Amino acid sequence: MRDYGLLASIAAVLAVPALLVRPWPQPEQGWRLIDRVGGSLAIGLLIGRLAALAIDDPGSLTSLADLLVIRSGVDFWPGLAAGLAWLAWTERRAGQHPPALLAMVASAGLVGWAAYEASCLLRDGCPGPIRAIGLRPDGLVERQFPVALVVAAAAVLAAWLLDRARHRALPNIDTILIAIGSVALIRSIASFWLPRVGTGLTRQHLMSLIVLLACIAALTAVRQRRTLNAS
Amino acid sequence: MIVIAAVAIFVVTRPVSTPVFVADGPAIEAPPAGALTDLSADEFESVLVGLRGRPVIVNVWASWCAPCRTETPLLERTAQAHQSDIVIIGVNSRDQRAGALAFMDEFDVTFTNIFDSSGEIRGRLGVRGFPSTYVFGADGALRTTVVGGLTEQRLASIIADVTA
Repeated sequence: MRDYGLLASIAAVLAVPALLVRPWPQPEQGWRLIDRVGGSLAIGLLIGRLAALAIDDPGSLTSLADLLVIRSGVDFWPGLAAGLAWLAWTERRAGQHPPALLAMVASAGLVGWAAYEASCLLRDGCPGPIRAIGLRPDGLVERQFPVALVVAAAAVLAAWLLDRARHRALPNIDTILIAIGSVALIRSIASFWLPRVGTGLTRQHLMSLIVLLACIAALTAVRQRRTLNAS
Repeated sequence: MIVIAAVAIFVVTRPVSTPVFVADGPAIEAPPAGALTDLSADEFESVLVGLRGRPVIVNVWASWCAPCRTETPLLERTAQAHQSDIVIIGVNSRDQRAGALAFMDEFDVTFTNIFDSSGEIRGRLGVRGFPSTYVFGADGALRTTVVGGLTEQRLASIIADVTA
């Protein structure tokens, strides 16, 4: 039997935000957006996979077969950075303002990420610490607290709050930084509960903390500069 | 909401795979760690019988398998971190011995590995793809099977479960 959990997860990343988008974009604009977001996702997966290989197994970088097996690991942050850079580049190439597009898709992106996390139900049964309340992944005896479902709920909440803030004229750059910072914050907190081998911070946890600090620093700098310019 | 409801129904109603493999035979000692020992399927089962009392993770791998390259360092780290409470056994199958040894050397594998030259072990375990991981409880019963690459979270949660 083939396991289609990962494929279903990727489909959910695109389908769930698309279902929630209101108002629906005009057909021409909608296709353009789907094209760019789809391209961004593909680039993100490719770069995330390359980063994972470069860090974990540099000897496989020249092997196309190894590169294509994304199931073997995709580094989240390099993938996200590449996906956003691709989106920004295509927008600039079309003569548009990249921050406007990135801010526009920020909430939808958070919902897409939430969909991916929630689809752990289809992949690995949502592992977590052993608790009295939780799910019991196939074959396991103890119930495990489904950290990924809590992450998904937190991401949806962050998307909703960001959407409300956008309607109150939150600037584009702030929207982008808050969206990325929210992901970093949620991942940083969740990483404390996620099961890991051995002790110490995982690479993903460390990267999330670095990104979180970078977002806070950038947001502070942007706001300070805005205040200085205003005065 | 329809998508979420459909997913929930699928998760709740999907059949749970039932493990069938049961190791049988006289107990024998596990082969030395770090080596690649040629064993028959019967001998492999006897090794598992001999290890009853501790949870055992059997990982079926091959040097040509891409996810195995990602998984092996994780298994090595696990073997080091859980030396006292679990046993990890690699089963190299559908592979060349020289390639397997080079692979083990590349990743500095120190846990026990068995060379399944005839493919008998693979057949007895019912391997459906590479890599495949079989988790046995301390009582020797097969608890769960993972086909495909293991993530650190998944492996750690399985270990937490079998050692709880």
